[in-house]
Amino acid sequence: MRQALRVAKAALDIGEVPVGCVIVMPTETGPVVVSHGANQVNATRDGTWKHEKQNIREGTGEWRNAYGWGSGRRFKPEELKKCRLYVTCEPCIMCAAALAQVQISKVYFGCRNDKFGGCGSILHLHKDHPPHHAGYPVSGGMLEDDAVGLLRSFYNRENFHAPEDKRKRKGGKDDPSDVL
Amino acid sequence: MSETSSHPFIEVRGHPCPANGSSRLFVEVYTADVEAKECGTLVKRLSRELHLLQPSIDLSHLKRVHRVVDIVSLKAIQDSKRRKTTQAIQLKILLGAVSVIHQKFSVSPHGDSIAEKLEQTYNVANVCTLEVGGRVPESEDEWKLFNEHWPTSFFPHKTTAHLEKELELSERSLQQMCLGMRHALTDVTAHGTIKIPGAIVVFPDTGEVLATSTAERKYQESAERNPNPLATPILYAIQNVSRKERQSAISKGMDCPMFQRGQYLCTGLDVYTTLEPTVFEAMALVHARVRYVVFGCSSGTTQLGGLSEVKVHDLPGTNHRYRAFYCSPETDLGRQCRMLAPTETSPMK
Repeated sequence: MRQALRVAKAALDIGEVPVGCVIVMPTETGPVVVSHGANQVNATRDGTWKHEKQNIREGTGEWRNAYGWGSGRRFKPEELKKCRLYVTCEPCIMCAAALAQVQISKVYFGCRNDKFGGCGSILHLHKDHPPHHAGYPVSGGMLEDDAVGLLRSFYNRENFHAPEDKRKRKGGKDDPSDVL
Repeated sequence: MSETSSHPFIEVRGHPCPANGSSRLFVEVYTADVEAKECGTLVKRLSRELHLLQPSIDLSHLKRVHRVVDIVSLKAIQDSKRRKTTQAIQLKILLGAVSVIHQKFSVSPHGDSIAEKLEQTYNVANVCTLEVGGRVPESEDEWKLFNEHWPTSFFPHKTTAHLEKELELSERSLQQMCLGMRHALTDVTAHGTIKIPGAIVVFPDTGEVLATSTAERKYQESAERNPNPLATPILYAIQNVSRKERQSAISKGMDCPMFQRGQYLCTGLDVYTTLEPTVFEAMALVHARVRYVVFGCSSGTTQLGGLSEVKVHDLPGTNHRYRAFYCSPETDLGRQCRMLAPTETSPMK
């Protein structure tokens, strides 16, 4: 989860919503981080480009180990079934459904997502909906304060993506460096 | 439009509005007399402890306080010119629905002690039951009827009849939807024996096709060796819009108006797909801020229907909702979509 927070902090530094996520695969020599991702909504101009979805895409598609997180190999989609996912905020409905679709082994998250959460807050997509939706175990509240601190520091900032006349000028900016 | 409509497109209704959820015309409530000087404090207290909007019943269309004027007393007071006219006004307060109060005070439905308990708890007198309007008035006549029992709010623009009229599709919209669905059918592609559903994004004013899943798939599959399990036609279509937006900013920079227009770039656009979106795809369309989603047939017995079953397009609490329609199974469009579906489709729920 600390590595997921580090990814979230990197997202914050480039003006994205600070939610980070890593996928960990258990191996004979111990757990290995096979992929990591953060929101890229602002950079791609695509509201669907979220952390878990991006992470799955990287783990199975274009990820080339550019950040030195693992062995650099590519993974087949089936291998996600063995993996655990650590994310700083509860997956949204889209991401929670995607995780069920790829049959992730377990999800650990930091803070709750009261607006869009798909793992208990709005919908319960981590639970089974027979006959054609298999859930997955979840565990929430991990390093929750750190995750909330990052989000708070983002939302306290001025939104530089908003049109000029609609920007809210805000005074103080929290320094997020103290949460990691 | 309803399920029995003869229109070629049938709307997938969202979650029922709690305000209109009660089918009962009248419900039983507890009322009491309250002193004028105590009234404000009690209203605040009841808002905290016995709010009119409860998960089981919504009475927020009712006023909390009823001013009952005794005409005979009022006339006598006005004649005497000695006492204040307020002495002829009796304030009655709505404590809450009988079922809610019985649950809160843990009494049996026919418990006799509840009136006494309410009088002591809230410092009121003459607690009694009364039948009041159980739902938001659907017409002016119904509002007048409810008002005879208890003061009720009425919002003509929130009535079902008004909303139905507002939501009615014009002939032009229906024609554009037919055209859009025909475009979506041309987007269906075949990989050997497997048919991949079609998905397109359309600008509603002109009917121009802005993006297709096929175009994006051709681009991405040349860059990927492994198939991405989340690369579905709808996601490809959304990504095709974002790719075009990014390309428009090339050589102009990220500060150009084209790129700065907004991050939710499908705002106000319509999506046509031959197969019902999954929960994953339906929520992606919420994030993309689309206006309408029109699909050909249900996703069958293999996956959870994002719109017909989970109703992701109308989830309470989310910051965007869209309208969803499907092709009537009796129409040519509906039949063609079913024939092109990758799996056996099931009847719409």
